[in-house]
Amino acid sequence: MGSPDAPAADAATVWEYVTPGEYRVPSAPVDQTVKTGLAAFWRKLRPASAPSDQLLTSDTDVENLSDERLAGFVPPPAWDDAAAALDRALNGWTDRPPAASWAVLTLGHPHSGHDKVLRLWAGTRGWRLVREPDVPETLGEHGGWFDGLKGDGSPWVLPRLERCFLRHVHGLALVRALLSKVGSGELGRGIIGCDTWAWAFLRQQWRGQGFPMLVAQAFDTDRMAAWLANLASAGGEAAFRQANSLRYVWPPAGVSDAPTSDYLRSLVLHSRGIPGVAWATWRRSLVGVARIPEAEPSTALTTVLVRPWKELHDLTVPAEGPHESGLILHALLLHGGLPADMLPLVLPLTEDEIAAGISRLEAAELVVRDGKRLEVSVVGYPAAREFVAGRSFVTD
Amino acid sequence: MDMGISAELTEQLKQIDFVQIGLTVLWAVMALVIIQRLLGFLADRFTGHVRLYLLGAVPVMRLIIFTLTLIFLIPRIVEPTFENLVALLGAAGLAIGFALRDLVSSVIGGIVSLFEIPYRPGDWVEIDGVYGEVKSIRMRVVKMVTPDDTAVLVPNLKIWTHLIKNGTDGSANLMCVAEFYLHPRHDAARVHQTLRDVALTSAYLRLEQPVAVVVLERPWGTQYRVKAYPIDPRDQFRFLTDITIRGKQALTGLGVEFAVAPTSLPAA
Repeated sequence: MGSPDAPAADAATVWEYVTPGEYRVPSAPVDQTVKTGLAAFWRKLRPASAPSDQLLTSDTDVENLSDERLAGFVPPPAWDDAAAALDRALNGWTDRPPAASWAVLTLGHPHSGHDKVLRLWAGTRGWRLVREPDVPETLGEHGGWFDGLKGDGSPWVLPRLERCFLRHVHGLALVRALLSKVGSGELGRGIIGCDTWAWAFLRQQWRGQGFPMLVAQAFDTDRMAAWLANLASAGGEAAFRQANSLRYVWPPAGVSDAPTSDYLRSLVLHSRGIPGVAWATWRRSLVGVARIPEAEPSTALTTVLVRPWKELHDLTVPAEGPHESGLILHALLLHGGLPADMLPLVLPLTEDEIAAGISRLEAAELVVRDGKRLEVSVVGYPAAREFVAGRSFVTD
Repeated sequence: MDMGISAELTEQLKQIDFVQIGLTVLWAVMALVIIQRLLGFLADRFTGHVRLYLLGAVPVMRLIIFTLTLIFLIPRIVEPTFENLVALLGAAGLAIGFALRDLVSSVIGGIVSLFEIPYRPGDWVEIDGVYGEVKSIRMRVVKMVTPDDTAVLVPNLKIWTHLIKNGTDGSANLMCVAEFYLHPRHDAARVHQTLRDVALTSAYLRLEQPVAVVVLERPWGTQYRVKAYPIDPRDQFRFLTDITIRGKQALTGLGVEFAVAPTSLPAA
């Protein structure tokens, strides 16, 4: 995979919605795959290492990035361009008569922002946002919830289907009824968003009529560079260089034929092209601002140093309690996160085992709390995915 | 002629020092008893691996003493001429051949199993009524570990005459069956769907494999067999436990009554 050229300014073109059959996970050349595999094997044998603080040379004057400057270079992603790309992909469907297909299912990977994209799209199109069912409705009587969904019969958007079921003997009736009613047209036209992990589970639980499906294409190296460059532009003109070699991560505008590092390729492979995961990892990689005036073509350019990929702190699943860790991580991935008090319903573990497992995973930064909900952390997602896949759990 | 053979035999017997032989045997027995008692005494004073090594040394010492005694005694009983040695070794070879017949059969069984592959390490098999995971295939035996963590060594010669039931056959797919027995008066369709959902919502379920619930009517009630595959064959018992517990919870919630096994069979 070649190094990226200076990224195009139009970051809107990086977003593309495709069918699941057209989705391509970023892949590495064979030698890279072997190196990654050996690195993963080596990580299992040695304890996790703290990031090194040794940077370029003792002569380099590095200023730590303040929170404000960091927020400038890596602001929270905006999903407007993604919503516009979704709108372009849906245009063909919205123009067709409803009987052809009453709903479109849009799949989104964890931390890809798919629910935010759908909410934005619903706002631009004026479609109703549907309230997710609460736990009593999911496990018991849900007639009232369907009445609310049907509403006045206007088109609707349900951003998170993964919040409409529980992996429990009584937790599937609502989602099965929903998909049946949607397929029959009883609920009118709608867009359903669903996490890819949840769909991998649900498609085995419901064998009814299929829906047209869309998923945001994974970012390759060029798209990732364009997207990150667009985000970074909010912090002013900057050149991002590898801290150990001063090679550009991507060359700034006006610079050509400059050597670039393999950082972006590693980032794309690590994040599987998922923007949110790449964003969080990129954010952790920025070290500080260096004053290397002779290195930059323009004095207006700020040199931001990026930690080499090998120096990034590896997150690993704790060696203790692998059985509990696998079950908890998989349950959280399937449901897109769960309230802590729901875990005993979906796990064959005692409350003590669950509590101990969560404690270990939180300490390893693989699980985070958002209020009462537990989720697989954005920086921990690659390690969590690798772990559950290695234990033969079904993956997305 | 008979008188000549008898005289020769008597002459040979006179040359054997029975006193020396008797004393040798007595010393050997005493040495064996002392070593057994000593090693046993020491083994009782230690724990863990040291104790096991000491106990394991007893049969080894027994073999060494027995061998040394034989080496000492044989030349004193049998004159070591070529003819005598051929006769002795021939008789010994015949006896050893009969004794080692099963060993040779097991070794050949091990070689054949390399080509036929009736089982592999990691397979869950049942051989001669023993069910467990194949841990290793050795020259003479197959080592299996049962669900109760008991190591069982099965001679390879079993493949000639015994049925070998292989649940995994080199794959990670092992069908597990959970059974429920219910009083006949209930909504079978509802129970069928409930038990299917119990299996489908197990955290241990291998989703890519099918789930089936077989319903059979018995004289004493209705039997439900939930057939599904766990993610890993090593999780089979956790899987069955999970299905059984949650199945019972779900069926109790439906108000279904469980069947009770009859204490005696009804008259034909």
